[in-house]
Amino acid sequence: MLNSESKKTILTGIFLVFLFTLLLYVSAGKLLNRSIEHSFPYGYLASDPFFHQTRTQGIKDMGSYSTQPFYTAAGFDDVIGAYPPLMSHLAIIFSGTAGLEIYDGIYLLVFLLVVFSALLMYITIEKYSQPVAVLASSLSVFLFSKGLYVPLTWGNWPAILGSFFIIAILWALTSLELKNSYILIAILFTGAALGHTSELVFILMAITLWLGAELLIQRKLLKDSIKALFKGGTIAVILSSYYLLIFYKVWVPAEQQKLFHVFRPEMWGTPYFTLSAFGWTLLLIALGLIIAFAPVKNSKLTFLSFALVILGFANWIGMDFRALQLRFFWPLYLSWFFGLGAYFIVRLITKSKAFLVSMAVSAVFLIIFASTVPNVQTNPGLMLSQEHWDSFMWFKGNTPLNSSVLFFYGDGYNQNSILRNTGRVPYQANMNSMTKMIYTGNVSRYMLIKVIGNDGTRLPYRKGLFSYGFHAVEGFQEEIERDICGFDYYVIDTKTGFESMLPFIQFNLFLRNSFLANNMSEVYSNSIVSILMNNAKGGGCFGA
Amino acid sequence: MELKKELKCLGLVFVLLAVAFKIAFYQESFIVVARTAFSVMWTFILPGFAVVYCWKSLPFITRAIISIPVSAAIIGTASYYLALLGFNVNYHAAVLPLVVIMIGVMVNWRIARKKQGQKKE
Repeated sequence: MLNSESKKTILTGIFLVFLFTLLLYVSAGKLLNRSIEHSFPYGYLASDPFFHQTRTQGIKDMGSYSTQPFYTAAGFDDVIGAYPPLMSHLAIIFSGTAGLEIYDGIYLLVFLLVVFSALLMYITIEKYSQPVAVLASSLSVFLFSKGLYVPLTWGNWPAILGSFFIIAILWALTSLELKNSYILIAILFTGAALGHTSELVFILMAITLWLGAELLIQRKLLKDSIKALFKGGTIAVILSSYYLLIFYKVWVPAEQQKLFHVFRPEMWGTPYFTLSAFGWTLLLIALGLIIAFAPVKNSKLTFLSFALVILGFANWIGMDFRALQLRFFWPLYLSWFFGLGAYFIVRLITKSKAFLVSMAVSAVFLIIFASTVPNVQTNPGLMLSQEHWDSFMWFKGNTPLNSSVLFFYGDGYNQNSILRNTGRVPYQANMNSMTKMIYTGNVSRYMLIKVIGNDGTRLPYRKGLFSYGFHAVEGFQEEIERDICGFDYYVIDTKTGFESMLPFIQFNLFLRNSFLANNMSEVYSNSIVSILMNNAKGGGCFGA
Repeated sequence: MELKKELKCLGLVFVLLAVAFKIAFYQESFIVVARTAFSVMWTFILPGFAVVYCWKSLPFITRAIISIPVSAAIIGTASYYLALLGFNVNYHAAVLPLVVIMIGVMVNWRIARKKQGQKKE
């Protein structure tokens, strides 16, 4: 016969399996068409997912992240790997073990990180109250609500990894009483530093606010906690020092310029999240806030959760769009208050069976909230088609590494990180230049052409052990008038899914015919893409 | 005896993961689902679990869940540095989790032995 504690453990286990399955079902399961493996990157809805995918693929191909893959760095082969490296390395190991392509593995991994975060928040709240944790979990479905689904499909992936570590650190902070807890702090701080450093900054700010609030409101100086944090933090700094130095030299100067500037959410080119998205659940959250603060209960979790919610508004005080990224996990930071509010109501109904009723109520909430998860349009071809993918893969197996590839108009090519999938240095013809040529009929040999790969880090390279130069500010010209005939390969789309783009396809076909008549030959084609090879690079190529 | 029970529970976690993946991705073949569930165990649960076994006083479910970020941080960081030192990242999936698990087991075994020694004294 099972005792009540064992029964509770079994029920908790069942609930967590239900939560995990439901979250996976409504998110990755739905978006990825109920399949794990795909024949090309599926459900990628912007440039940034390809940016992360190609970088990770490049690291896998090179064997390390000592330098940025050259085809993701405008052709430079000495650009140091400055992007937080943890996501890529985890994706390579996860995909390798599962036998998945990088593009499938990394995408699934990001969804798993979100779902794992919901489980982490459960065990964090569970320490204070199991029924509250159960009720709080239902709010985690909002991680996949309209305003938050975008970070997944638009590629805010490292920020999601950073937020995942914030939740893990929350758990560790509420477990500082454990013997040698500083080890956990050290491990998780290191993960955050190498995962997405801005989230480490936010959790440090939240910790400062928490310790300050304890001192001012509770009149408590938490010496033991500070000691454990200092010890763990010091180890983390040592463990992540190699990358932190790169971060300090490459990212900090760029971010510093934005400090103390007001960043209005609309300035971000990404749909952002506001509190109103929580709808009627705000009533329970407000009730929970009153319960938590009057007087302050479980001060550690209360102060930390509240601080992380408030820091989501730090875009107004100079934390730029990073603060808006922190909002991705608002449903988890607010869930403690939601759980408290909901449990208060449950306790009004029943006191003796509060745990069981909480579980039933939470299951109902989960199902109701799950029905609001948006149907994201992911039909193949929306961003990338099988034909495009096949043409990119052709380059990898059939062309020299140092080939230059010029892309004219193609559906989805405006999200230009896609083009890095060729594994060769991609160049892109400027849309305005092409439009001008189409409407004036004056096709010239020189036009604005952009080399793809300047990703905001300014293409840093190492000058000495602690000194860096930046190609992007040392004479590098990203988009200039270039000779159309000066490339090795040309990617010419012969079809479009958009009627308004037909003039560009006609222009493509005109160029293709001219090229074929002047020193070029077709080396690959399918129903959408034609690839031409230039047999006289720099010579005449269209009779001009 | 206790270890046997823990291993059984970990086996159950693997089965439940596979079931959850199969429900969410019902069009996927069983073999891909099983491989993916195994990858989650191998990359994100077992290495961290071996490390957090030090805090045995925590419930199994808590240890299993917190082992995920612990694994992610250890495996990801070690992979980054080892690759920089010249150990190709393509071999890490096979070697790195195994090494972390072995180190975790050894540390826990030493802790257990030390405790036993203290009891005898």
